[in-house]
Amino acid sequence: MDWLYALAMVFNDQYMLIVAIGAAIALLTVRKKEVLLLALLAVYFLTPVVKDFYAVERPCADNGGCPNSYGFPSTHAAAAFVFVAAGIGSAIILFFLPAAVLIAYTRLYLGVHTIDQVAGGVAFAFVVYFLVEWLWERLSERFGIKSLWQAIPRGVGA
Amino acid sequence: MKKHGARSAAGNGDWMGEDWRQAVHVLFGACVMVAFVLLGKTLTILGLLAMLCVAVLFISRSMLGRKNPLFDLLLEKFERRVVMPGKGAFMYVVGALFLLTFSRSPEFALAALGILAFGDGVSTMVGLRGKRKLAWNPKKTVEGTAAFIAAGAIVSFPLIGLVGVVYSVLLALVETLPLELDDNLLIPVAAVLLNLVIK
Repeated sequence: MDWLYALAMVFNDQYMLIVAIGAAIALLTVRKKEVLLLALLAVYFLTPVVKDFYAVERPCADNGGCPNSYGFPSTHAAAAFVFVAAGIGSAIILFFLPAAVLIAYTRLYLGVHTIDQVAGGVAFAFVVYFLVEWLWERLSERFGIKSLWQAIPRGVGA
Repeated sequence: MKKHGARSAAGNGDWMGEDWRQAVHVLFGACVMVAFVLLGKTLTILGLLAMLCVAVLFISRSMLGRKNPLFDLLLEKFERRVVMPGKGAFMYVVGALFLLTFSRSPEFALAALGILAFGDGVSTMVGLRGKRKLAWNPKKTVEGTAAFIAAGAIVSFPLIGLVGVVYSVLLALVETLPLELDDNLLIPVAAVLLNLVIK
Protein backbone atom coordinates (compact mmCIF):
# COMPACT_ATOMS: atom_id res chain seq x y z
CA MET A 1 0.00 0.00 0.00
CA ASP A 2 2.65 2.50 -1.15
CA TRP A 3 0.02 5.16 -1.91
CA LEU A 4 -1.30 4.99 1.66
CA TYR A 5 2.20 5.31 3.07
CA ALA A 6 2.91 8.28 0.79
CA LEU A 7 -0.37 9.92 1.84
CA ALA A 8 0.36 9.24 5.50
CA MET A 9 3.76 10.89 5.15
CA VAL A 10 2.19 13.94 3.48
CA PHE A 11 -0.25 14.27 6.41
CA ASN A 12 2.65 13.80 8.80
CA ASP A 13 5.11 16.22 7.21
CA GLN A 14 2.77 18.90 5.85
CA TYR A 15 0.36 19.03 8.78
CA MET A 16 0.27 22.82 9.16
CA LEU A 17 -0.17 23.36 5.41
CA ILE A 18 -3.05 20.90 5.35
CA VAL A 19 -4.69 22.66 8.30
CA ALA A 20 -4.28 26.00 6.51
CA ILE A 21 -5.85 24.63 3.30
CA GLY A 22 -8.65 23.05 5.32
CA ALA A 23 -9.26 26.34 7.11
CA ALA A 24 -9.45 28.20 3.81
CA ILE A 25 -12.03 25.72 2.50
CA ALA A 26 -13.94 25.77 5.77
CA LEU A 27 -14.13 29.57 5.93
CA LEU A 28 -16.03 29.51 2.64
CA THR A 29 -18.39 26.74 3.63
CA VAL A 30 -19.07 26.31 7.36
CA ARG A 31 -21.71 28.15 9.36
CA LYS A 32 -19.70 29.21 12.39
CA LYS A 33 -16.41 30.47 11.05
CA GLU A 34 -15.28 32.28 14.21
CA VAL A 35 -15.90 29.20 16.32
CA LEU A 36 -13.86 27.06 13.90
CA LEU A 37 -10.88 29.42 13.99
CA LEU A 38 -10.96 29.80 17.75
CA ALA A 39 -11.35 26.05 18.24
CA LEU A 40 -8.38 25.34 15.95
CA LEU A 41 -6.29 27.80 17.94
CA ALA A 42 -7.44 26.25 21.20
CA VAL A 43 -6.54 22.74 19.99
CA TYR A 44 -3.17 23.98 18.71
CA PHE A 45 -2.24 25.50 22.07
CA LEU A 46 -3.92 23.03 24.42
CA THR A 47 -2.91 19.70 22.87
CA PRO A 48 0.82 19.98 23.74
CA VAL A 49 -0.16 20.91 27.32
CA VAL A 50 -2.49 17.91 27.63
CA LYS A 51 0.12 15.64 26.04
CA ASP A 52 2.76 16.65 28.57
CA PHE A 53 0.26 16.30 31.40
CA TYR A 54 -0.87 12.76 30.58
CA ALA A 55 2.65 11.79 29.37
CA VAL A 56 1.54 8.68 27.46
CA GLU A 57 4.27 7.27 25.26
CA ARG A 58 3.70 6.62 21.58
CA PRO A 59 3.68 2.98 20.42
CA CYS A 60 6.85 3.73 18.40
CA ALA A 61 8.68 5.33 21.34
CA ASP A 62 11.46 2.73 21.29
CA ASN A 63 11.95 2.96 17.52
CA GLY A 64 13.73 5.48 15.38
CA GLY A 65 11.71 7.99 13.37
CA CYS A 66 9.11 8.47 16.08
CA PRO A 67 7.95 12.04 16.79
CA ASN A 68 9.51 13.21 20.02
CA SER A 69 6.28 14.41 21.67
CA TYR A 70 3.96 12.27 23.78
CA GLY A 71 1.12 10.36 22.13
CA PHE A 72 -2.10 11.29 23.91
CA PRO A 73 -4.15 12.86 22.50
CA SER A 74 -3.35 12.78 18.77
CA THR A 75 -2.91 16.33 17.50
CA HIS A 76 -3.55 15.34 13.90
CA ALA A 77 -6.82 13.61 14.82
CA ALA A 78 -7.86 16.53 17.03
CA ALA A 79 -7.27 19.16 14.34
CA ALA A 80 -8.96 17.05 11.66
CA PHE A 81 -12.06 16.49 13.75
CA VAL A 82 -12.40 20.17 14.66
CA PHE A 83 -13.18 20.58 10.95
CA VAL A 84 -15.75 17.79 11.23
CA ALA A 85 -17.41 19.48 14.20
CA ALA A 86 -17.52 22.78 12.30
CA GLY A 87 -18.81 21.10 9.17
CA ILE A 88 -21.87 19.53 10.80
CA GLY A 89 -24.92 20.80 8.93
CA SER A 90 -22.94 21.86 5.84
CA ALA A 91 -22.47 19.87 2.63
CA ILE A 92 -18.69 20.14 3.12
CA ILE A 93 -19.04 17.46 5.80
CA LEU A 94 -18.94 14.97 2.93
CA PHE A 95 -15.32 16.02 2.43
CA PHE A 96 -14.24 16.79 5.99
CA LEU A 97 -15.50 13.58 7.59
CA PRO A 98 -13.79 11.09 5.22
CA ALA A 99 -10.66 13.25 5.22
CA ALA A 100 -10.58 13.30 9.01
CA VAL A 101 -11.13 9.55 9.24
CA LEU A 102 -8.33 9.02 6.71
CA ILE A 103 -5.97 11.33 8.60
CA ALA A 104 -6.78 9.56 11.87
CA TYR A 105 -6.24 6.16 10.26
CA THR A 106 -2.86 7.14 8.82
CA ARG A 107 -1.65 7.90 12.35
CA LEU A 108 -2.40 4.28 13.26
CA TYR A 109 -0.97 3.06 9.96
CA LEU A 110 2.34 4.81 10.61
CA GLY A 111 2.39 3.35 14.10
CA VAL A 112 2.80 6.75 15.77
CA HIS A 113 -0.45 6.48 17.74
CA THR A 114 -2.66 3.83 19.29
CA ILE A 115 -6.45 3.67 18.80
CA ASP A 116 -6.97 5.13 22.28
CA GLN A 117 -4.71 8.07 21.47
CA VAL A 118 -6.48 8.81 18.20
CA ALA A 119 -9.89 8.45 19.88
CA GLY A 120 -8.71 10.87 22.56
CA GLY A 121 -7.88 13.35 19.82
CA VAL A 122 -11.37 12.96 18.34
CA ALA A 123 -13.06 13.43 21.71
CA PHE A 124 -10.83 16.39 22.50
CA ALA A 125 -11.72 18.03 19.20
CA PHE A 126 -15.46 17.84 19.77
CA VAL A 127 -15.22 18.90 23.42
CA VAL A 128 -13.03 21.89 22.59
CA TYR A 129 -15.22 22.88 19.61
CA PHE A 130 -18.49 22.78 21.56
CA LEU A 131 -16.98 24.55 24.57
CA VAL A 132 -15.62 27.28 22.29
CA GLU A 133 -19.03 27.51 20.61
CA TRP A 134 -20.72 27.87 23.99
CA LEU A 135 -18.20 30.50 25.12
CA TRP A 136 -18.52 32.45 21.84
CA GLU A 137 -22.29 32.50 22.10
CA ARG A 138 -22.16 33.75 25.71
CA LEU A 139 -19.64 36.45 24.81
CA SER A 140 -21.65 37.46 21.76
CA GLU A 141 -24.79 37.86 23.90
CA ARG A 142 -22.98 39.67 26.67
CA PHE A 143 -20.97 42.11 24.54
CA GLY A 144 -23.02 42.18 21.37
CA ILE A 145 -20.15 40.81 19.28
CA LYS A 146 -21.22 39.50 15.87
CA SER A 147 -17.82 38.68 14.37
CA LEU A 148 -14.18 38.17 15.34
CA TRP A 149 -13.33 41.54 13.77
CA GLN A 150 -15.62 43.26 16.25
CA ALA A 151 -14.00 41.38 19.14
CA ILE A 152 -10.51 42.76 18.41
CA PRO A 153 -9.83 45.77 20.69
CA ARG A 154 -9.28 48.94 18.66
CA GLY A 155 -6.70 51.60 19.41
CA VAL A 156 -7.54 55.11 20.56
CA GLY A 157 -9.25 57.11 17.85
CA ALA A 158 -10.15 54.01 15.84
CA MET B 1 -51.42 13.87 28.50
CA LYS B 2 -50.53 16.50 31.09
CA LYS B 3 -51.29 16.08 34.77
CA HIS B 4 -53.23 18.79 36.61
CA GLY B 5 -50.79 21.53 37.54
CA ALA B 6 -48.22 19.94 35.29
CA ARG B 7 -45.83 22.88 35.02
CA SER B 8 -42.66 21.82 36.74
CA ALA B 9 -39.83 23.95 38.09
CA ALA B 10 -38.09 23.31 34.78
CA GLY B 11 -41.01 24.92 32.96
CA ASN B 12 -41.55 21.86 30.81
CA GLY B 13 -44.99 20.29 31.05
CA ASP B 14 -44.12 17.29 28.89
CA TRP B 15 -43.16 14.92 31.68
CA MET B 16 -44.05 11.69 29.86
CA GLY B 17 -41.87 12.58 26.86
CA GLU B 18 -39.06 13.64 29.15
CA ASP B 19 -39.36 10.41 31.18
CA TRP B 20 -38.90 8.39 27.99
CA ARG B 21 -35.98 10.54 26.98
CA GLN B 22 -34.26 10.05 30.32
CA ALA B 23 -34.98 6.32 30.31
CA VAL B 24 -33.15 6.09 26.97
CA HIS B 25 -30.38 8.24 28.46
CA VAL B 26 -29.96 5.84 31.37
CA LEU B 27 -30.21 2.78 29.12
CA PHE B 28 -27.57 4.04 26.68
CA GLY B 29 -25.15 4.81 29.48
CA ALA B 30 -25.74 1.39 30.99
CA CYS B 31 -25.08 -0.24 27.61
CA VAL B 32 -21.78 1.62 27.24
CA MET B 33 -20.76 0.50 30.74
CA VAL B 34 -21.65 -3.13 29.98
CA ALA B 35 -19.80 -2.95 26.65
CA PHE B 36 -16.76 -1.55 28.43
CA VAL B 37 -16.75 -4.45 30.90
CA LEU B 38 -17.50 -7.22 28.40
CA LEU B 39 -15.71 -6.02 25.26
CA GLY B 40 -12.94 -3.89 26.75
CA LYS B 41 -11.98 -0.26 26.33
CA THR B 42 -10.70 -0.32 22.74
CA LEU B 43 -13.73 -2.03 21.19
CA THR B 44 -16.11 0.22 23.12
CA ILE B 45 -14.19 3.26 21.93
CA LEU B 46 -14.34 2.03 18.33
CA GLY B 47 -18.09 1.58 18.69
CA LEU B 48 -18.52 5.11 19.99
CA LEU B 49 -16.33 6.50 17.19
CA ALA B 50 -18.46 4.71 14.60
CA MET B 51 -21.61 6.10 16.23
CA LEU B 52 -20.20 9.62 16.09
CA CYS B 53 -19.34 9.35 12.41
CA VAL B 54 -22.79 8.01 11.52
CA ALA B 55 -24.47 10.63 13.69
CA VAL B 56 -22.50 13.44 12.03
CA LEU B 57 -23.80 12.33 8.63
CA PHE B 58 -27.43 11.95 9.70
CA ILE B 59 -27.49 15.19 11.65
CA SER B 60 -25.98 17.04 8.68
CA ARG B 61 -28.54 15.50 6.30
CA SER B 62 -31.32 16.56 8.64
CA MET B 63 -29.98 20.12 8.91
CA LEU B 64 -29.73 20.29 5.12
CA GLY B 65 -33.42 19.40 4.85
CA ARG B 66 -33.04 15.77 3.77
CA LYS B 67 -35.33 13.12 5.17
CA ASN B 68 -33.94 10.25 7.25
CA PRO B 69 -36.91 8.03 8.14
CA LEU B 70 -35.63 6.16 11.20
CA PHE B 71 -33.41 8.98 12.44
CA ASP B 72 -36.23 11.52 12.14
CA LEU B 73 -38.58 9.19 14.03
CA LEU B 74 -36.08 8.78 16.87
CA LEU B 75 -35.56 12.53 17.04
CA GLU B 76 -39.30 13.14 17.09
CA LYS B 77 -39.74 10.71 19.96
CA PHE B 78 -36.72 11.35 22.13
CA GLU B 79 -35.00 14.60 21.36
CA ARG B 80 -35.80 18.18 22.20
CA ARG B 81 -36.33 20.56 19.30
CA VAL B 82 -33.09 22.48 18.84
CA VAL B 83 -31.17 24.01 15.93
CA MET B 84 -28.89 20.99 15.61
CA PRO B 85 -31.22 17.96 15.66
CA GLY B 86 -30.00 15.16 17.89
CA LYS B 87 -27.49 17.45 19.58
CA GLY B 88 -28.24 16.10 23.05
CA ALA B 89 -27.65 12.50 22.01
CA PHE B 90 -24.57 13.51 20.02
CA MET B 91 -23.10 15.31 23.03
CA TYR B 92 -23.81 12.23 25.12
CA VAL B 93 -21.73 10.02 22.82
CA VAL B 94 -18.97 12.67 22.78
CA GLY B 95 -19.10 12.86 26.57
CA ALA B 96 -18.91 9.08 26.92
CA LEU B 97 -15.95 8.93 24.52
CA PHE B 98 -14.24 11.75 26.41
CA LEU B 99 -14.69 9.92 29.72
CA LEU B 100 -13.37 6.64 28.38
CA THR B 101 -10.29 8.21 26.81
CA PHE B 102 -9.37 10.91 29.33
CA SER B 103 -10.11 9.09 32.60
CA ARG B 104 -6.99 8.03 34.44
CA SER B 105 -8.33 4.61 35.38
CA PRO B 106 -10.97 2.26 33.94
CA GLU B 107 -12.77 2.20 37.30
CA PHE B 108 -13.11 5.97 37.29
CA ALA B 109 -14.27 5.94 33.65
CA LEU B 110 -17.04 3.49 34.54
CA ALA B 111 -18.00 5.37 37.68
CA ALA B 112 -18.17 8.70 35.86
CA LEU B 113 -20.19 7.12 33.05
CA GLY B 114 -22.55 5.72 35.66
CA ILE B 115 -22.95 9.12 37.31
CA LEU B 116 -23.61 10.71 33.91
CA ALA B 117 -26.13 8.05 32.94
CA PHE B 118 -27.96 7.33 36.18
CA GLY B 119 -27.33 10.51 38.15
CA ASP B 120 -28.23 12.89 35.38
CA GLY B 121 -31.07 10.72 34.04
CA VAL B 122 -32.80 10.07 37.37
CA SER B 123 -32.31 13.67 38.53
CA THR B 124 -34.23 14.99 35.53
CA MET B 125 -37.13 12.58 36.05
CA VAL B 126 -37.36 13.47 39.75
CA GLY B 127 -36.53 17.14 39.33
CA LEU B 128 -39.36 17.79 36.88
CA ARG B 129 -41.77 16.79 39.61
CA GLY B 130 -39.89 18.69 42.31
CA LYS B 131 -41.38 21.63 44.16
CA ARG B 132 -38.44 23.33 45.87
CA LYS B 133 -36.40 25.36 43.43
CA LEU B 134 -32.72 26.01 43.96
CA ALA B 135 -31.87 29.56 44.98
CA TRP B 136 -29.11 29.92 42.41
CA ASN B 137 -30.95 28.20 39.58
CA PRO B 138 -34.76 28.21 39.54
CA LYS B 139 -34.74 25.71 36.67
CA LYS B 140 -33.42 23.02 39.02
CA THR B 141 -34.97 21.60 42.17
CA VAL B 142 -33.67 20.31 45.50
CA GLU B 143 -35.38 17.00 44.84
CA GLY B 144 -33.67 16.61 41.48
CA THR B 145 -30.26 17.42 42.92
CA ALA B 146 -30.76 14.96 45.77
CA ALA B 147 -31.77 12.30 43.25
CA PHE B 148 -28.61 12.97 41.22
CA ILE B 149 -26.43 12.50 44.30
CA ALA B 150 -28.25 9.34 45.40
CA ALA B 151 -28.30 7.65 41.99
CA GLY B 152 -24.73 8.67 41.19
CA ALA B 153 -23.47 7.46 44.56
CA ILE B 154 -25.24 4.09 44.27
CA VAL B 155 -23.66 3.44 40.88
CA SER B 156 -20.17 4.76 41.61
CA PHE B 157 -19.66 3.42 45.15
CA PRO B 158 -19.10 -0.24 44.10
CA LEU B 159 -16.54 0.95 41.54
CA ILE B 160 -14.47 3.56 43.35
CA GLY B 161 -15.75 3.48 46.93
CA LEU B 162 -16.56 6.50 49.08
CA VAL B 163 -14.81 8.90 46.71
CA GLY B 164 -17.65 8.07 44.30
CA VAL B 165 -20.04 9.73 46.72
CA VAL B 166 -17.80 12.79 46.73
CA TYR B 167 -17.83 12.91 42.93
CA SER B 168 -21.61 12.50 42.89
CA VAL B 169 -22.04 15.46 45.22
CA LEU B 170 -19.61 17.67 43.32
CA LEU B 171 -20.97 16.77 39.90
CA ALA B 172 -24.53 17.28 41.16
CA LEU B 173 -23.55 20.80 42.21
CA VAL B 174 -21.85 21.42 38.87
CA GLU B 175 -25.00 20.24 37.12
CA THR B 176 -27.06 22.86 38.99
CA LEU B 177 -24.96 25.78 37.73
CA PRO B 178 -26.93 28.07 35.39
CA LEU B 179 -24.35 27.81 32.60
CA GLU B 180 -26.70 26.82 29.75
CA LEU B 181 -24.17 24.20 28.68
CA ASP B 182 -25.34 20.71 27.76
CA ASP B 183 -25.05 18.41 30.80
CA ASN B 184 -23.79 15.62 28.56
CA LEU B 185 -20.71 17.74 27.92
CA LEU B 186 -20.47 19.59 31.22
CA ILE B 187 -20.53 16.53 33.49
CA PRO B 188 -17.81 14.53 31.67
CA VAL B 189 -15.51 17.55 31.41
CA ALA B 190 -16.07 18.44 35.07
CA ALA B 191 -15.53 14.81 36.08
CA VAL B 192 -12.20 14.57 34.25
CA LEU B 193 -11.02 17.91 35.67
CA LEU B 194 -12.06 16.91 39.19
CA ASN B 195 -10.27 13.59 38.75
CA LEU B 196 -7.05 15.46 38.05
CA VAL B 197 -7.39 17.13 41.45
CA ILE B 198 -9.11 14.57 43.67
CA LYS B 199 -7.65 11.29 42.30
